[in-house]
Amino acid sequence: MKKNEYSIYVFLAAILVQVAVLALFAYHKELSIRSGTKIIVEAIPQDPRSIFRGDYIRLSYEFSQINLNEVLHNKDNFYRGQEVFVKLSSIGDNWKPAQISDSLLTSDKEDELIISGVVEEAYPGKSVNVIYGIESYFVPEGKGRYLEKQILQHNVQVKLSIDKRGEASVCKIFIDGHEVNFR
Amino acid sequence: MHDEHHPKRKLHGLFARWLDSQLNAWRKADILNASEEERIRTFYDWPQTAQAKSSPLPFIVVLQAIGVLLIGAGIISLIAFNWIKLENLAKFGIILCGLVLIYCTAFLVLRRKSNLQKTGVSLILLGNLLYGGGIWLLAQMYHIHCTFSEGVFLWALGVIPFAYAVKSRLNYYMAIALFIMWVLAESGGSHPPQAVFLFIILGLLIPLSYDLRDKKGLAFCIVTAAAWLVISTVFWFRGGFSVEFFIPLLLYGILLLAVSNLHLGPSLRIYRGIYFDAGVAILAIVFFLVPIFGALARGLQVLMSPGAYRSFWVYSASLCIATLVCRESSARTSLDTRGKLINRLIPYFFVATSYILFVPSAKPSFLANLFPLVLVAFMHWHYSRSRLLLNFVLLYFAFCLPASLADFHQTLLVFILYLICGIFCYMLGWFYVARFDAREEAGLLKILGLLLMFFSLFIFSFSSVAGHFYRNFKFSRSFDFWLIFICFYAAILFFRHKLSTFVYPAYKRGLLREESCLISILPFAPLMLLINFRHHPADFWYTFLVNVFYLGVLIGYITAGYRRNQTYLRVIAFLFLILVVVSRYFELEWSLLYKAVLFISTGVFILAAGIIIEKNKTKVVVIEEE
Repeated sequence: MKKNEYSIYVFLAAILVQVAVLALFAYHKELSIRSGTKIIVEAIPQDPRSIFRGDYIRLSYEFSQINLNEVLHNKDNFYRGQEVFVKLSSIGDNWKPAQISDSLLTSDKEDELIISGVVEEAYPGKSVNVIYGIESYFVPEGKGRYLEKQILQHNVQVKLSIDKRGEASVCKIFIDGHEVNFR
Repeated sequence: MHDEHHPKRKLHGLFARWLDSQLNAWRKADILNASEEERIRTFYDWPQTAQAKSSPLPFIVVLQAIGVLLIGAGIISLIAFNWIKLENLAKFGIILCGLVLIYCTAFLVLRRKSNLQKTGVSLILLGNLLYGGGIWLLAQMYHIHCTFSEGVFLWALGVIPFAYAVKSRLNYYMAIALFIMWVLAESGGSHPPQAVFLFIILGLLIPLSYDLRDKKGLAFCIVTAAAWLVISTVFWFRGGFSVEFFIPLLLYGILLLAVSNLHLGPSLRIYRGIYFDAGVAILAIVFFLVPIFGALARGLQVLMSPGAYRSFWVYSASLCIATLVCRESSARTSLDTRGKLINRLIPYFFVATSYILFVPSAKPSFLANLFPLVLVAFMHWHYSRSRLLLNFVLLYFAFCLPASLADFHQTLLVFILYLICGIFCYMLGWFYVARFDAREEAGLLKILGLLLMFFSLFIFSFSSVAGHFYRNFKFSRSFDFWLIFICFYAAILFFRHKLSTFVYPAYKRGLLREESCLISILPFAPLMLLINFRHHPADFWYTFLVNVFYLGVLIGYITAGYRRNQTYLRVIAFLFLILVVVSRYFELEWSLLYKAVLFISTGVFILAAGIIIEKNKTKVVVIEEE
């Protein structure tokens, strides 16, 4: 390698690519969370670990497994990896799935929301397992196991933010109505 | 003598590296001394890269890379620790500032410190690791349940521009490592693998491989792309297995061969072998696997969804079009023999692929699955007159067909087929010697034939196994079995006829008397065994005669091995001799009396043979040296 062989412009462009990827990533999520409608839903947690990101609680929701016999659906055969839209209806304090479709759904009602996800597993004519990207809640090292014990005996709720495109983000986690704060 | 003022002769990369390696070799062999080597080196104008290529990765780079990797692992662990006390903005700021700081330092070091170039590159590597850590930090901050593959893809996307910017192979290898990680992670994701991501990474990495003249990196890219294709096909076929699973991979192999024809120019020729070898390897694997999995063919209905069905056709059509474009482009250039052969074979590859795809899955016979393989091998021979592929196909048939037809209630028939196939391979080897004097090809065929033959006879030599065969014996009703049996047996009789006169000393490379005798007798062994199991129980006489026959065959080959001074023949026959003696000794079903009779008679026979050889030592001819 020779000295002065490097172009400052190419080098700057390479730095810009990395900074832009990180900044766009953060900006997109921040915008989605700030502009989204906030709802609180019941969750069923588990406790795995990510090698890069540390401890996290894996969350599952009532609308993660959709029984096709109980909701409106535009087809019987969904397939793994397919993008779907689920209409959530507010029933009492909880949000339940009301409709699933592979095309964009709309709703003007206040007690309805559209959330987008990807089919994880499909059982034709019976049920569909959907993931929404809100199945993880990261916690400080070692807290995962502690929380796991706590949440097995208590009611766990998650505050979600769902933007107008149906993209959901996890905001906060509550145990028996109290926000879990690790600070 | 070379005039110092005479302009130096410019060397191209390929020749430079060749000459560089040769000079090193001559120097080691004391053909040249240090001053002569130096004079030759100064005679030429060496390209700068040639010297660098000779030492793949200097020690300092490796050492610094290890240090950087350790720091990177520390950063990632720090992120995984989840520093909850800090606000999101602060965490993000630390990562961004850290990145900019490291890259600015690296740039300044690279620009201003000519003696710290490797440190500069290592700093960039550190920045790349921090960038990866930043991606996972963001995912952690926003509790994103992103799959592993998406993060690795973004990581790779950020690393590749630096590999371009500094033309460093360290960064380039990191990008390739991330590419491989991404492809592997794709297998565990919920989202269907997206071709566009593959094209983005390949579109960036392959030109960089050419730019850095890195063949290994290019090979990794090609193979990883094949792995991606397999992973995405597995995703589509989640509903079940089908032989059509292989189609995209097959088309990819054909495309690689077509692309190899675009690498005939002097600067590109060094990459040709990579495409060619990868293409041949993929095609060979697929064509040899198709007949085995052909029996499982269930058609495209096992494609899991309309989306997958569409992807399957889009990928397949794209690969076909790309292949045809490459073929047409290369046809306009002056191709060499191999290039012409590839272009001629491409249509037949497509016919074979179409056959696998379109011929109904419920094939009338298992053997119908062999058509693509036979077609390609035959056309290869037709255009090149090389028997290489034909031989491979024949060996594949000999080894795989009996197993493919395995009926576990009728294992006898499988071993009868193996015996026939073994005799066929062995005699085909001799036929090649007699007809074409092709001793190298013949050697491989003879070894594999002997192994098959000896192994099958070994199985038949067990009284317990023979008893099992007898109790379950019934003639096969399988059309495939009888077709294979008749074809191979007819070929054996044909070779026997052709080899009957090919005898030493009339022919210098002819059969020895014992080999000629064995070749005359061996074809009857499978028939005799079949007839025996049809009519007689596997009693003492069966076991005794089969063992005597087997030992006679082994001793015959050991003798021939000594006379020819052929180690492989002696070793194989001797190993099986030990195996059969040990097996018989420990076989509980046989009484000690029978064992005694067998061992004494065989021992006497061997002793007599040894005495005869010893007495005629001067007459023992070494017919061919190994």
